[in-house]
Amino acid sequence: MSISSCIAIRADVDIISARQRGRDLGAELGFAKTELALIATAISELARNILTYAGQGEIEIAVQEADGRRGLLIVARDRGPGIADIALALQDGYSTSRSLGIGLPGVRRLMDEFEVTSEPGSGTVVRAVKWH
Amino acid sequence: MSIPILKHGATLIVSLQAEPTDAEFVELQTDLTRRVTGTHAKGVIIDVTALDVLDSFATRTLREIAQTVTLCGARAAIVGVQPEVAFAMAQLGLSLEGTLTALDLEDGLALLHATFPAALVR
Amino acid sequence: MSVNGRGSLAPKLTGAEQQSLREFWDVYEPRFASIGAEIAEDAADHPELGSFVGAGNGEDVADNRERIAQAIRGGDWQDYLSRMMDTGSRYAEAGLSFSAWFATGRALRSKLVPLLTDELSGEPQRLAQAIRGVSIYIDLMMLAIGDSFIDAKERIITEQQDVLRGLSTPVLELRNGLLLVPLIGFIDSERALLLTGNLLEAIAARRAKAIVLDITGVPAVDSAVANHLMQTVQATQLMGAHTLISGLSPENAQTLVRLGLDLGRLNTVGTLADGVVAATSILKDAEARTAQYEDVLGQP
Repeated sequence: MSISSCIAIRADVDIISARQRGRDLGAELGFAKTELALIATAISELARNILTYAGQGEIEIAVQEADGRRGLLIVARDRGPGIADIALALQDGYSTSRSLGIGLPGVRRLMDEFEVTSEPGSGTVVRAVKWH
Repeated sequence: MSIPILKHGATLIVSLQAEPTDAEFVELQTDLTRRVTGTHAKGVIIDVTALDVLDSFATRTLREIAQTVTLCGARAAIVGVQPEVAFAMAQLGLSLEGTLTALDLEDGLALLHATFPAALVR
Repeated sequence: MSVNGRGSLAPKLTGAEQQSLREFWDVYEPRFASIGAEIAEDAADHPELGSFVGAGNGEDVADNRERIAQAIRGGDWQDYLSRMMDTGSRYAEAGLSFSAWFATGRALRSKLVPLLTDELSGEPQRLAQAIRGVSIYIDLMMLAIGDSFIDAKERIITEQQDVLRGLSTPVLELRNGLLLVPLIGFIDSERALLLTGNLLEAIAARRAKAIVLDITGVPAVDSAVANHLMQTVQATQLMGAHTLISGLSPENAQTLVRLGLDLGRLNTVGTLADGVVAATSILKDAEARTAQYEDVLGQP
């Protein structure tokens, strides 16, 4: 069983590779069908954001262990323009109606742990964990 | 690889199999529009039973396909959204509002027929 | 002295601590069986412990003694501690209270200290060590039992909560294709999610086309609840089903209107009965559609 993967996101086909990897690793961890769908969708949206805002980046998918629990760690990184106002971006409804992705609030709803680090000009890192 | 479009009377049926890439979705949009106008089809059914994920792009594209098809004088229905996919979509606030939906192909055909009887007349 | 977190059963003992344990065990080991029997006898009168602390047959006693020897003399605590953890789980599953199992540790201590004092009365150095050893031993034992006792209790509570949740969001099939979901109690986001998930599965399993979500029994319907319900309605639509919300009280309706919510997407009907009538009508339409379509198919 592989512990972690890093998928380069440069084109739309990579979105599928990333979410497939997430689904596979999630299945190995024993997540239920419903949770696998959530994981795959969250990864899809994060990958999409990378393509849309930064043009390219990477998604790391790994097994996370803590307190005897195991979970799926997803880290989406890019060197794009960064998010100027993270608080605004995390506001529910901020980008749900925009045509570009469903935004971070949606992904946050799907995952157990979620944090965004971003500086305008130095890219964005989104770190999310779903515990089994 | 383009997605196969089958003809069933005056209805076009698309059964999405593996996860379509964004490009394949866009290609489908173009193909369907062309086929609808070209064959005077009155109904379009897109079967997503085999899809494990319907993300924002897929959802938006499906809605757009339905809208385009309607503009071309036909009606579209999306069928086969799986429970866990619907669940994920609900949590993300993704919806196919404004688009006809049905549980499966059979229901979809019945729905189209009722909505637009011309859809199944040869 | 420290015991690692869950997963590792190897306590970190200093040399002095190990020596203390050995001193204590040297005195305790030959009397292990008899002390065990004494404790069992005393416990027989305890309201909770009576059925638990049996003297055990000869084999069990020998096994236990061997495990402790393996730990104290051999440095391998694995078997002993995992046995203690089993005990903790068993106590929790049997509904034993905290004070009851804690009493077992106290009982042991009350037997061992006088024993050691008698045996080592002429050797204060060794007595001090041995008494320290008792402390360490009982602490390790209680920690292992206690840890898994708590884990098991928490697991049991979670299981009970799951059962409660399952009971609290029933999905009933009124007739073929018509589902009724009577909601009772407060709806928080967790419950709303559970409800949505169950409902979607039910739609697939029973090929349901019409759903009545009755909220007569939901005391507080604020904008959060309304949003949850709207989300549920939307999700069911994705699967080709229509969901009607019945039982929204006039007061709650007023509140929601005042909050400026667009209730158009809530698909409300009046009472539960109204909901069932409307849902049945939806179903009949769907059935008529299918029949019509099948007729057309049948035509040459």
